[in-house]
Amino acid sequence: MRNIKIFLTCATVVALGLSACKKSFIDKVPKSNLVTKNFYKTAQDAESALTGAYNYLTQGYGFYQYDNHLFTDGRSDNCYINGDDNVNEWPLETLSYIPGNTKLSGEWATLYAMISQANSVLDNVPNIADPALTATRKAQILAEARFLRALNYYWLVTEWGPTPLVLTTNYNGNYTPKRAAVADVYAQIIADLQFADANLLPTPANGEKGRATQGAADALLAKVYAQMGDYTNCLTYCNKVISGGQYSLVANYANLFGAANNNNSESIFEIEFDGTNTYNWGNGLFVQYTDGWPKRNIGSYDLIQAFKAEGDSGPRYQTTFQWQAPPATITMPANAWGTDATKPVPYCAKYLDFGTDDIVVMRLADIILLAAEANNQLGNLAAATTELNQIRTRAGVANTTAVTKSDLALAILNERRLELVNECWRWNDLLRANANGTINILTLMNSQHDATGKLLQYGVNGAGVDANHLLFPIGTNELQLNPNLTQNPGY
Amino acid sequence: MPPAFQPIFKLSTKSMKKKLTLIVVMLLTGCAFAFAQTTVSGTVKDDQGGTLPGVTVTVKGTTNAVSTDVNGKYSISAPGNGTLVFSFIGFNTQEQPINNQSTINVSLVAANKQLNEVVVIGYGTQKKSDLTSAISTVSVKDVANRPIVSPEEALIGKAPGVQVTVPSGQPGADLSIRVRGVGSPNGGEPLYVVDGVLTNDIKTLDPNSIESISILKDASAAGIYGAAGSTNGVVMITTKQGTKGKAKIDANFYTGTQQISKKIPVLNNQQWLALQTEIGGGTAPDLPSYYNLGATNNNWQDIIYHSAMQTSANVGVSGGSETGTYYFGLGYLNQDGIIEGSNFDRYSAKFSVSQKANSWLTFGGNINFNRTNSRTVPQNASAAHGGTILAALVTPEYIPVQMPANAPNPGVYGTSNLYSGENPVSDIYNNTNNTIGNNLLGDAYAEINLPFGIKYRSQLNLTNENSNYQLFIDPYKSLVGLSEPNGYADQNYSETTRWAWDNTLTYDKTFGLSKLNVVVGTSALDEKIFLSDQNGKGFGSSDITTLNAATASKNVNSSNYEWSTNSYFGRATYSYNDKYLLTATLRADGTSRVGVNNRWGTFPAVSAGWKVSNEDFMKNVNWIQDLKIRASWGRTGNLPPYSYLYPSYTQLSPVGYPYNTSNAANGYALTSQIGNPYLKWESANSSNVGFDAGFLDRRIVVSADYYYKKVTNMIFTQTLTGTTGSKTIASNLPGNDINKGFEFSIDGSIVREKDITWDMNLNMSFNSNVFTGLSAPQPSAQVSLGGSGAGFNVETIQNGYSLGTFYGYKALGVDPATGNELFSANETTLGSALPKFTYGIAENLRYKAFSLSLLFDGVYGNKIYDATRQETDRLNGATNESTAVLSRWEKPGDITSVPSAIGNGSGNNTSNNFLNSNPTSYYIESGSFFRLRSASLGYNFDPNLLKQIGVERLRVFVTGQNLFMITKYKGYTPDVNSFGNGTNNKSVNAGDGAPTILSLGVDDGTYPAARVYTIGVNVTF
Repeated sequence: MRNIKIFLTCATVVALGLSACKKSFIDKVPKSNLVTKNFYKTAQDAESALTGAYNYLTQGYGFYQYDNHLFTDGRSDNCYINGDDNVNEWPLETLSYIPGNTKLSGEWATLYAMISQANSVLDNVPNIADPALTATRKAQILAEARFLRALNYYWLVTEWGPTPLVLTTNYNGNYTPKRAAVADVYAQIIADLQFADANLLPTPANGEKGRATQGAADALLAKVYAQMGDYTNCLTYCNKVISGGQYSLVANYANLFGAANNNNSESIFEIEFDGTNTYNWGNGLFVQYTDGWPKRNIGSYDLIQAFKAEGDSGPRYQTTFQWQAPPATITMPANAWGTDATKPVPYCAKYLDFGTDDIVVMRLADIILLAAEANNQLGNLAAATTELNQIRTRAGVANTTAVTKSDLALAILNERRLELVNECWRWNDLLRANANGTINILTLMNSQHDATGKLLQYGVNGAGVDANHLLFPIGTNELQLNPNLTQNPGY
Repeated sequence: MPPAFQPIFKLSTKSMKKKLTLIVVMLLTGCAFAFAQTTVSGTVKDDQGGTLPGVTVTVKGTTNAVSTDVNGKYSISAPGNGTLVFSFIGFNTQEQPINNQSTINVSLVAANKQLNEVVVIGYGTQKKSDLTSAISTVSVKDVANRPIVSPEEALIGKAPGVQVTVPSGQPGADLSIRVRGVGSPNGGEPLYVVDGVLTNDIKTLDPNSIESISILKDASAAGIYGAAGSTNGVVMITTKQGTKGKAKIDANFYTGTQQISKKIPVLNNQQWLALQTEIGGGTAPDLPSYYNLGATNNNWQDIIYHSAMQTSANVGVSGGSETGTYYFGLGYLNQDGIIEGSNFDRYSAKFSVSQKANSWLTFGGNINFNRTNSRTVPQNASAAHGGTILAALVTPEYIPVQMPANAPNPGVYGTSNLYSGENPVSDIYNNTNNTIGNNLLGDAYAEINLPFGIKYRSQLNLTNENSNYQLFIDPYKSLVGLSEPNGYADQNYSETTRWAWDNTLTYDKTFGLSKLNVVVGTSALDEKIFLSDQNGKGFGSSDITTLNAATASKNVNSSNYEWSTNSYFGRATYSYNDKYLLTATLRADGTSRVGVNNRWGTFPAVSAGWKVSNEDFMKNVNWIQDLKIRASWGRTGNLPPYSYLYPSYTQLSPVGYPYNTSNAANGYALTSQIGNPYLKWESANSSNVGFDAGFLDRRIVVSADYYYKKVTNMIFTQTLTGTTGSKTIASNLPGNDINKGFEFSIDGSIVREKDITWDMNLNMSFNSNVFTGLSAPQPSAQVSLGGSGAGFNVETIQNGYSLGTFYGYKALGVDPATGNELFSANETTLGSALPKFTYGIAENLRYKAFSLSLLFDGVYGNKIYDATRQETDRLNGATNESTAVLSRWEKPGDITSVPSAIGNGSGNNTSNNFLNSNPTSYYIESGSFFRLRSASLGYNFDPNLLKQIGVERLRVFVTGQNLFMITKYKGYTPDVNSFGNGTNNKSVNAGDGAPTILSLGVDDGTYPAARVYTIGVNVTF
């Protein structure tokens, strides 16, 4: 009996300890959700992470498929926004936005969300030791991610000015970065793109269009240098794209858009939609369907006059617009297209395949015209004229009559306007033209008038657009969350 | 204070005289003596004169023992100079010297429960008189006589500091328990411990299988459960166990009817038309010819509410020998809802055994199992979103049940051409739904006596709950079904399995005047959760309702989750000379549910008690007995919500990207939630001081406590800066959630006569809740309210205010000139959903064989956001409205509290638009109520007659529930909370991202509570 008791005493002590001895017992990781801790291990993980970063171009509030159209063509003289959100969309039309605008703060965060997806690739893929991941492919993956990061920073720096440079997802508790100077942001973008240029092939990896390529990096470099006013470097990268032989103009402008023309020969970088994995809901808000939503970015009176002045009524004009009577009264701006609510107005017609239209971020015609702009600014007027006429010819309009540098500058700006309606370039074109003295953007915006000739009276309280509103404000909520941020002047 | 207390003094002096007489008689009978072996016989009765069968009569110092027979008679052979010992459970043991008597009749005195009652505490038991912490025990004896469906219901009105709310009257709906206020914005429900098994809910239990409930209210008592000890207290439940002796069979049966206790008057067709004409600015609505305002007068409330049956039967068998006991119970419950189509039934089984194997080993276990079926009707939603209760109020009476032949879609359930939403009959019958639940809770244990008086106990616990919900929306019966398109089916399955292994060593020793009890132990717990959901559309027939018949929009999801804790704990209880009591506990918990960098936490608690009455200087104080003063301090914790099961980690979600438009690749993207490896449990520091005392020879027993509970490290979802992509993170934000209050309970034995007894209990609880130290107001739960279903934040969490503080614009009355409601310029706080105090009064009266039990309860000072009125009194839209709008403003000069309807339909009345799209005090009402929760009249048949048919006890009763209520509340019932108990301690919400802050006191078309009448019988063989 005594032995039994001693045995039991021992067993008790063992049992007491047993239930608690395994340290791993309380270390649980999710079984149905992948976490960063146990991801980024294999070659496939690296590809999957990069795919996630591409997918994010279609997520959030829909920067590329929706809001950036409002921020660029909508805000500029190209289109009337005609949204149903009086608080957040209407001020974009009138250039009277305030820091409380949730569309602006939302997209600011969306751009950073897209950047964080690229950053997680850049943080983790270098550490993957899987031999199946070759050094070449590893470098390409990093290069593709750096292109995506650069693309998003391009929009941040051109729309908001100085912006925090967040280059990692390892925050280490620091969620409140300061704004970086515009030059520093551009330097980072150029570093990313030069890395992409050096490591990417002219053709997409695995032949999969939609991936960043050397050409995409070069095209974006050209755009970045142009925006910085560095036309020499701009021209270098334009020419690299044009002479690289990867891209050719689509013969007929009518074959540029629509799901059937996704990934055509002219496309340099586009965001892919199949309607399942990614869904382009944004185009449903531009094209005239009878779903009851007021459609955004209706062609402005001024834009239609610009087409008329060039005698452009061919495939480009017809592909760009779809004239229909609105189902509901045009609300923004009131009477922009006259007082007759039943009169047809020019809806956007470039994105007719709801859900499955790709978003063409950059295409060859844009780069050819950018080369023309750079050549003209650098004094190569003949080259500029040739390039300008190349685009005009495709559109079915006569060669330019401009001869002088200043006339050519206006002609190229105008050609970019007609060629790239609703492709999100007009606003930055105007900023560049304003910077190099081709036009005065404030004068231009403040002279906008409706079909009856009445001034549209943009600006805060209709008092005219001020220079401070060329940059968006930092969101009110953001300033509260991040004490290290400063507001843009004038807000 | 009720006048019922007055007569106590008179009666008690009388009874004291009686007792003295009895003692004198007993002393006298003990005077004579003789010494030969003799046969002694006699009758044993209780102190009220009833005979007591089964009393053990032992000759002292021998094993010679007999039991009294059914008439309380005994006969035993004993030496004439010996002593007889009479012992019986529930009575004080009595010794009688024989002194050569041949007849010894004895009256046993019922044991004073307050003194000897044993209370179940964590990992042990303690005499109630030795408690140093705040623990309430609740009698559940009345459960057999009342139409109580869930165990929580048995606590209503019974214990100070414990508020039980009935968020919804839907059969089978969860109840909500609040111990000393709401201990976290993430949830207010306590931890449940059933026979030592930790669980989040007690839906496994048939209330008839419960022996006792004790509620650990302060941290000294709950601290032994550490991080799971819950800042919301612990409810300890002991289920029925076997008792030694021959098999005893208890059977209870009742059946009854339930009815709606109130209907809300609504407009008839002509009144609706008049209102619509005003809303249309003088233009009557254009109704197609297939509606007939003159002939169709559907009173929807009369159509959907009906008298509903409720029936319960259960039987329990218990028995055992000196070495082992058993209990076996079966139960059945069927509750039809007062709304057609709703139903809940439950089949339950319970089995307990305990066996002493030898001198050092005892083993045993419990199994509680039940299977439930429920069919629900949609509630807590606007009529436009299928809420049946609101649809019954706002569907105009001219809408037909089914569309006539000349209408589009003839034969489908009737709808309006002016607004979207189904009629209530459609909401009920356009679909079939059923939830089957299987719930198992069990344990097995072994107890081993080790050397040095140490007892080792090892207990293995298991809970398994699964739930299978199946919904089918008929493709052709309703517009909803047609528009899906063609039907919709959903199947949702969840299974939660938890095991735990507890090992404890207990040492119990008396050294002279010192008594020491020490418990040390370990516990390991692991829970696995499986969730799956399938749905689809496109049904070609109404006949096959499962998803294999779906042809379109098929979605499939499944997921696994797991968490675990590992704990070490100890408790020492020391008493000196039965005067000074001291308890100290310490628990260390490590759990997977907090951040990896904060895995372990320690939870200390101490308490002390002073039995003042046992001091020498109290010897001559006769007016007070058992005075004990208690004080405690301790810390408990709340684990992070289930929605944050793995808070340390940043999760990735599967996404696809179609390279080349068609080469779809699978990828992973970071989700918007960043992991927080530093996330801790919420913790509460609680202090408690209190006293217990008996007065007038313990005829009145008072317990009172003051407490202060400060919850820190509250877990909120924090939205980070935009430069992170506006990611969110689970954070312990600065700030305190403070509950402080005072509570007391008074038990009075007012009349204690042979034929008449009258006992009563009064308990009251005052709790005040306030937040301090928050760096910013936190948005409270967003609630979808109103016809549009627009999201409203109706509550706020901010410094200086309680949880459940309503926030919005103050409605300032109707401007007699314009008929517009006026509002304050800014949003402001508009009162709290938490009551200032709650109370319960229980009365138990017995006259001879009749007994009457009354239970009153009430709350005072809380507000309710009556979102139902946001639909029924909105003065806009084409739906029907309540008769309250008949007193609306119609012309300048009208003085009324109901604004104008004129022209509201044009959307130009900014005041009406404001009212319908903002939270305002217009819909906030008092939620105070006083109600007769239960009244039960019973009759006990004469035991002497019953004996002849082999029955020990037979009782018949009639019981009414919710018989009356005094309240100013305009809705169905103020005991309501549409958005209920919170979702954060429910395993089915595992991993769904952000926790939901509790929203309190909102009534948005909630299933009304029923008035119930039952008759039944209790019988014991």
